[in-house]
Amino acid sequence: MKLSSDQWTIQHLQDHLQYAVDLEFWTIPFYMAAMYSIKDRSSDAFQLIQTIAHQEMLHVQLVANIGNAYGCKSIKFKPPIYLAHTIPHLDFELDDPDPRDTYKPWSGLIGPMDEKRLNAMLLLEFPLWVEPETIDYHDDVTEYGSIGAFYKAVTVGAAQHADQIKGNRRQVDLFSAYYNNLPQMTIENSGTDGIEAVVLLVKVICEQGEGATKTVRHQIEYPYQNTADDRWPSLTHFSKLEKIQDLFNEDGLPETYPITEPSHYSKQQLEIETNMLKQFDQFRACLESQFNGENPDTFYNEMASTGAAIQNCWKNGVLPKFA
Amino acid sequence: MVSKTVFRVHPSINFARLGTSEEYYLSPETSAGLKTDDPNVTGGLPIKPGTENEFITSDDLRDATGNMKRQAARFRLYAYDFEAPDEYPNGGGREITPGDTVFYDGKDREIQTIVWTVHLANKKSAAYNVVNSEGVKAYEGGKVPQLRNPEIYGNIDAPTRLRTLMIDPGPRAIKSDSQKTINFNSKGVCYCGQDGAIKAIKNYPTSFPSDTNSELYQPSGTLDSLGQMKVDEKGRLLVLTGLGNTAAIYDEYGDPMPLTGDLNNAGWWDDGADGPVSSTVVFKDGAVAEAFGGWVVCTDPSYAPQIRNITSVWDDAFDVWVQELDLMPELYKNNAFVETYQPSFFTDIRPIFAAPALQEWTVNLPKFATQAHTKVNQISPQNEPYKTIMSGLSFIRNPNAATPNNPAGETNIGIPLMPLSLGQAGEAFLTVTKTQYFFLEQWNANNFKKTLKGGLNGGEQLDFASLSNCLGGRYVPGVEVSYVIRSTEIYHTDWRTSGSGPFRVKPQPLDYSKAKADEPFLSGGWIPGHDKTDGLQPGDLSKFMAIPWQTDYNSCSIHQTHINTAGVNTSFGNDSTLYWSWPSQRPDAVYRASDVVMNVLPTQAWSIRGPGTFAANAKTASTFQKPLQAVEQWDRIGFVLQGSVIGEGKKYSPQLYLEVESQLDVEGYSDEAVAKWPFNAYVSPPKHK
Repeated sequence: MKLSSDQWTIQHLQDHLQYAVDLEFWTIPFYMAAMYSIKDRSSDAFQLIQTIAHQEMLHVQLVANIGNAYGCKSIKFKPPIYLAHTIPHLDFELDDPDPRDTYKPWSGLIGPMDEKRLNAMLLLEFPLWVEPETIDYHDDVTEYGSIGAFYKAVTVGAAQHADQIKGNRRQVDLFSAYYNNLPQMTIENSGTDGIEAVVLLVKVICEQGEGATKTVRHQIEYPYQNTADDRWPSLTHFSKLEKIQDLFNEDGLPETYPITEPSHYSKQQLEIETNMLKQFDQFRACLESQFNGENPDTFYNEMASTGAAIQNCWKNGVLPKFA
Repeated sequence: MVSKTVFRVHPSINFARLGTSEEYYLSPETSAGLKTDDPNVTGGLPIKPGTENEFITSDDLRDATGNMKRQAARFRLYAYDFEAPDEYPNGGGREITPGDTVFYDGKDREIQTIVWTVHLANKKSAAYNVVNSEGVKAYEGGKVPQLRNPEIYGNIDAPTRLRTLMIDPGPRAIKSDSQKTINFNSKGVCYCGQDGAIKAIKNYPTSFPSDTNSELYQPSGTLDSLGQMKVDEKGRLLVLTGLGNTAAIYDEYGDPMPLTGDLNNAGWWDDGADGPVSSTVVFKDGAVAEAFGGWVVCTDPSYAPQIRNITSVWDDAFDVWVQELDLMPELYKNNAFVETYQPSFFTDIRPIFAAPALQEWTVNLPKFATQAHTKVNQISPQNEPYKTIMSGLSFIRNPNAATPNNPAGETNIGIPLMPLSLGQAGEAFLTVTKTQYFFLEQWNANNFKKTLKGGLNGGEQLDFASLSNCLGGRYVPGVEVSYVIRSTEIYHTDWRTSGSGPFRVKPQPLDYSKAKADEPFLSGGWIPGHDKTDGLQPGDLSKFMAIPWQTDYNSCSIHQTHINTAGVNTSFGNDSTLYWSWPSQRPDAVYRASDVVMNVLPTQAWSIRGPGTFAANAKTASTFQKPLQAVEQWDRIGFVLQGSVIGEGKKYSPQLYLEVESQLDVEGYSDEAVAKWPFNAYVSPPKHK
């Protein structure tokens, strides 16, 4: 239900931030699995998705940092669930216009880069089509139609509880070298002195990806652009996906690795699938540890090894499995 | 066929390295970054003179006056029981020295002496330009690049050009029992005749820059020699370089000719060189046998000798020999790699896994990279490949990905693909060789040998070690040799039947009796792709390198990828992102040993630093900002050595590779901060409307 601003408690804000982590984290296996299914790594489709996946990792870091600054007891990285027609915490019926009328068929299941996966990504990254005049707050995060609306609410709620900000609490910075024009990616100041940084971090997410509005979606503002490894640094996620859609329309779907029917997996394929699950569990544990005050020395390796395991699944005809 | 004894010089190609001291150490006989018999020392270190294989320490890098010692190329002679067709690895062969008895031409004979002949030359200034974006393609289709020093009229073989621009001291010969040090200057030209006797050549047309220029700018000393040679106590040959001198003509205003670029500076000479090393065995009974000779290249110092190149000259040469010269039909046959071939983890896979973990000591890698590299380095033959960080070869750039519609293949993809350094001419990023990649594929498919069996014999091991300590892949134009190492035309291709063995440069037969005082003896020589199949002359390898070498070493630190692709950013990344040119061979960012406390690392410093190095733009970091300073101060740059061989009064962990013996620090001059990768060249931000 809608809440009035004085009903928006710190707990609501913390819940919203955990939901944001859930959603951002959910996208990573989904994008990476689709990306590694494409045989031609030098194709624009592969490279475009890779840049999005990298930014999703950044967004996980940013929302986790905000959550920690607002005193979340612990940031959870639960095993993501992939269902055919569900994306965590989003109800597209609430979006106006309802993007499902445009992007269909779609699937939220892990799979190769195909029309269903692309449409799911487009739904996920669907911009806030109309800039709302007022911000609605909900106690149930599934009552947001788009991530844009969700983050708009978070921004206002965060400002209301600015006095609760604790700077330098479990702040993690893994990506600032990739964004030379951004002043910071962590929240260093406490109380109301920290609110500008909070707003900045939310703005990064909104500029780059899910929170973009229709009017700005074609051009990410300069400070929020990747400065290292993105050929299309000014394009939002939605614009990048539209670019992939254009490529598919022109050239057809990219060639992807075929997969074996799971019931027919060989012993070796089963081992590869088991290893994928184990590797992803290690990665989750590592993330959880990273954002809860530990400094696991294995974080980068677990991240890289997860990518390697996904690639190896596809090369061996195994559908990557994450839970 | 009846077997016979053949003689071969090893290493087939060896490298003498420049210094400013009369003193020297010996070329390494172990392979960079790989295990040695000493558990605390990895391979690649030079050897103390007068010893078989005692590694140098940091105390051996400079002499008492602070001058940089040279590296002598040590050559040995091996006898093989040969029966065609030869195989590789041969597995046989033994080193021979005077006094040994060898079964040769039907009977046992005692070796009385070995006569070594070396002919060094430097044709750089008389040769064609190095073309950054084209590489060897500049010679395809009957074309050649522009000549260097075009103001000296004539074609590549014009006597006027050769007399004016080529440095040729002529050949020198030395007996294995000689106590002399022979100089490659303008006096004492001689060679070994077919009878094993040393013959003087009175009319040899030696040429040095001072012969045709009354005044020269020579900032570090007179360029009147290309080096020296001598023999050790066992009669092995040692070839030494010159003292790193350069020379330039003065322009019409009386200034030294300006250094206008990195590669092809007009009016300049250096004392890099190369040439054939021949060996004649003289038996006590008067019989004489000619060995299949080697080749020596006099080149840049090795500033980080233990830091392994992910792709070395060995990898390139091996790749060519495998694919084009029938080196190992069990590995490559009918234009394809043999799927059943099992590479050895220790000799074929391990070197590729060991190299990345060493890169952090010479470049500014971020933590995520060093952690991943460490993980790669920890992979053992017992690990299931699919459970490792290298599973699926997710992070290796595939050299086979090029198609007619996508000729660049994966060479435009930067991170996360490796190696993350600049590629060869025309390509943004480097790939491992196709043979290296095949080995990795076999490993990934769990189709490899997990035990260390067999391997190379002594001479073959020397060939491998020598070439594996040199920069491969990015021959723009390279450090020791250029792309021509991948040309089959330079080698004895009849190795299976001739007895030469593989990886041996084919020298052009030179009849010194025809030398005339008024006519250059050498010509423009061999160039790739022009059906010149009669072998190489002295100077025919080094002429493809930069002139002078110091400006190229200085420049080749950090670049945007577009330097390789004619100024156009073809990479999947920001045009301003900077990458390393020669990350193993040319230290960019280092840890100063003097800053290390209790084995805790300090922040990195640029390898080239101090007055004259401040970079207004990160793309020229770790560089002398004026090329002339590089010519004058290259010998002040420090070396990166393993902690276990660093003296300096402190003990360092063998896990660390630290910079020592730099002479670039100046008290009171603050260091420029080293940013971790990714870092960017400065470009103007977009203008606001």
